[in-house]
Amino acid sequence: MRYSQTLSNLRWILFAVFVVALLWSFVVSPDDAILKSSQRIFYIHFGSAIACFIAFAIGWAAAIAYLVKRNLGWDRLSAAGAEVGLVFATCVLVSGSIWARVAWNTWWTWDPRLVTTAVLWFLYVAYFVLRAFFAEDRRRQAVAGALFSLFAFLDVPVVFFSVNWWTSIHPKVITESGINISSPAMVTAMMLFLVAMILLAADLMWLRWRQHTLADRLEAARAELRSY
Amino acid sequence: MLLGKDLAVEFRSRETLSSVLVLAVLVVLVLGFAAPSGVSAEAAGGLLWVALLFPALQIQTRLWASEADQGMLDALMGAPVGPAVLWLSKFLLSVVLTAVLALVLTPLFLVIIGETVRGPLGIFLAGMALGVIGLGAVGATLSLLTARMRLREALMPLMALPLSVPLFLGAVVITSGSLSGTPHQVGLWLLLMGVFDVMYIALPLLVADILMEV
Amino acid sequence: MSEQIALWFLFFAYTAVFVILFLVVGRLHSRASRLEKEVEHLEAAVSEEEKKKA
Repeated sequence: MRYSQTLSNLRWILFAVFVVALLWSFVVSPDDAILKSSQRIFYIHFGSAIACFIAFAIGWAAAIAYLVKRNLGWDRLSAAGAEVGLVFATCVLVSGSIWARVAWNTWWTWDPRLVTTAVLWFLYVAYFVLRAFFAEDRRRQAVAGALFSLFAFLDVPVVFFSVNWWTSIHPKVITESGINISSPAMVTAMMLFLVAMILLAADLMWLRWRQHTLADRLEAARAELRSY
Repeated sequence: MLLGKDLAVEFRSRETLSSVLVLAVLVVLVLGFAAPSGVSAEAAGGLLWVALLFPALQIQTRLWASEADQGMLDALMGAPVGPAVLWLSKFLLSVVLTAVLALVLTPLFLVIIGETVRGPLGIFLAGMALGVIGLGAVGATLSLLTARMRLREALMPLMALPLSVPLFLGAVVITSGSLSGTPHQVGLWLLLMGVFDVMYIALPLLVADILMEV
Repeated sequence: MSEQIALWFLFFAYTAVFVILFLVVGRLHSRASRLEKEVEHLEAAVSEEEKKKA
């Protein structure tokens, strides 16, 4: 990848976006009327959630691409997407749990949004367990992983629409009539963090994809040498 | 011709069914001991599905086991019928076996826990039917995916349970509602379970050949 | 007023965390670039071997 230099410069821009987002979240945006300052965790929580969905979506699309094209590069992207998605899903669950403790006085509750998100987390952990079982056979690892990822991603729309389909105490920020937030400064903070998280997810996915590619190339070279 | 093959496979699997049924009865008995003074109708719905789930997983894990153990999976790939049809026959087998399990287990459970279906029977049966079909579909797919693996009994439930959660949620809500007599949001849940079932039948049929090659 | 100060403190704390995160990710990316060059060398050496054998 010869354009690594440009991309690492872009990384600094991403960092700047993060700093601005943090500034907005902590200092510029006002306190929430009811929740006061604790509401600010929402910016990370929401950004992580959307980044998580996008990462899983890219992993899903890459899985389909692999099953069609059978090029291992797609499988590496699919694995990278799943990894990054899982990391952000963990952030969602942790930040959500902290917020729940402050806002609802409980670390966890059996609410459709929470349950389906936890299920999503377990699904992708199972994805990696499945891949680990096939560690010796790269091709079967890729096929099995892609197939499971095909089904596992179906939970993401369920998570997203769970607050509309079922009665849920989880706050509905995005509705048909637009974004349900009172102050424009809050919306700006939310958007800034959203962009920042998505770009961070993209950067991390690219990193993991490179690392997977290197591992595969190394293994292939090793296999060649072994055959001499 | 498909059905004939399916039934033949069924008769062969009398061993699967009998051991699973014994397990199921034991689970219900244990539940009876765990809640000697009965449980609320709401809880009973959930407990019924828990009692059904683990024996059902046993059935699913073993669906392709005899083919895989005898190394027949590769041979079957070249069979004239095509993998989609093979999956379909296993799916039907799974549904039939799970339905038998449910038919035996549900009355037994209701008697031991001491509940009756107070709500509309049709809704109760619809919930059970959609749940059984869904479990059958997920099981047929995942057991095919893990058929050639050494530790398939361990891994398959790990994957099947999270995937089945939307189905499970629906089944529990509808069953609890029917048992307590106040079913809520029935249309929505039945629709969700129906969509789940359709997707988990359509998708595997589409990718059946890839499933078999894993 | 002290809440304002607390928020500024949190802002700087989180910024520090992100600085560390970015440095780590940046370092991992440079390491990946270096490894890519090494792997290229290795692959060239392997294909040399192949040519010698053939």
